[in-house]
Amino acid sequence: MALLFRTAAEMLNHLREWHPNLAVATWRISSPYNDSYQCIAWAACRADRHMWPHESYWWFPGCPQIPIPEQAPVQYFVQGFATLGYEPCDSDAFEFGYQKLAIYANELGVTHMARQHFLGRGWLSKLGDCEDIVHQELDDVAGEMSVMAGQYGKVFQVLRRSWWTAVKKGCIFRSILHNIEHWLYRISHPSWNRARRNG
Amino acid sequence: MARDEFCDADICTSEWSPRGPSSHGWHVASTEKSARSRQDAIARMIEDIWQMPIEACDATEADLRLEAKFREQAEKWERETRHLSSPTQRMMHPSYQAILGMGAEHRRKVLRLMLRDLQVNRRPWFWALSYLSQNNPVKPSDAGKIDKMIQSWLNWGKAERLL
Repeated sequence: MALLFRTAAEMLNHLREWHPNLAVATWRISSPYNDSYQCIAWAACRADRHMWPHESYWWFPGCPQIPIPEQAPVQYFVQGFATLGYEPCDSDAFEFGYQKLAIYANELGVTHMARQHFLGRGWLSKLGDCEDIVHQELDDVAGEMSVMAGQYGKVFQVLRRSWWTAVKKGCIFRSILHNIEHWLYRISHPSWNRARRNG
Repeated sequence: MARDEFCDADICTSEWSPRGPSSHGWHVASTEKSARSRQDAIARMIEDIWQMPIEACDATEADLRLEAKFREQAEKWERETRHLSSPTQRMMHPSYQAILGMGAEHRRKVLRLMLRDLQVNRRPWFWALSYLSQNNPVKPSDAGKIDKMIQSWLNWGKAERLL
């Protein structure tokens, strides 16, 4: 695992450069820079791997995979996350008893996934290899549809599953473990913790 | 210099002299023709010796240029794509494509640069490495686990004498 320390200025300038909506949004950084996992894995409550429907990455057993660098259709992700109990739904609003996921896509296919906080206090996004953030609205990390813009495009699909399914699939347990890891990191890096709060 | 310090045999530097011309192969034939061919051989040898450092310098300079170009593109690629999670989107970046283009021309050199960069900076060159080497040393059970993927590729690089 590679946890990297980034200064407040470095972190904020970088994140705002590629996610311009964050400049006017309410959000906070919740973990250090870590290249061991990305947003798709974080949506599945995993912080130890990169997930993508391709043989070079971990993907749900038995689910179809795509050759790179072809497009990554949203349907592949809907099928993959169905194995964790998620099903498509229409609204991204918090519903008591349900946990939700949002799938972002641009003209090249899926680009990002965000997981709703268990109690509806915003959305958890892992920004590539960079930090995890918690943002209030899905649009906070949305952006241009063009591939060359290097942004996430728009939300194409929202999925949901019941809390009980989340507990059964081990998501809650893994999230708690991950939060303890971040908490320990914050204790051992007080300057990072200050930088995080400034965000 | 102490006599016993460096020589096993019973001889020291001051007593040593090179072999005389008579013991050298060139003096076996003493005709004029052989003398000319000998001169030609010496001329070729001198020419070769003269060319060697020039070629070596050229090669080193080309390598340095390639490395500088690789580093520049790799840094740009990382700076502009590290916030992205989609490997497809990261690969479509012009810098990644430029590096793949460099790899098509200097395959082993670019593979070596990628492996070193993977070792030092952990930039995820996995797909480019697979593409250029036509190989994938990562076990299916390690797919997606970055530390293990890096280690598999570094082991492969050592086996292929690229590291």
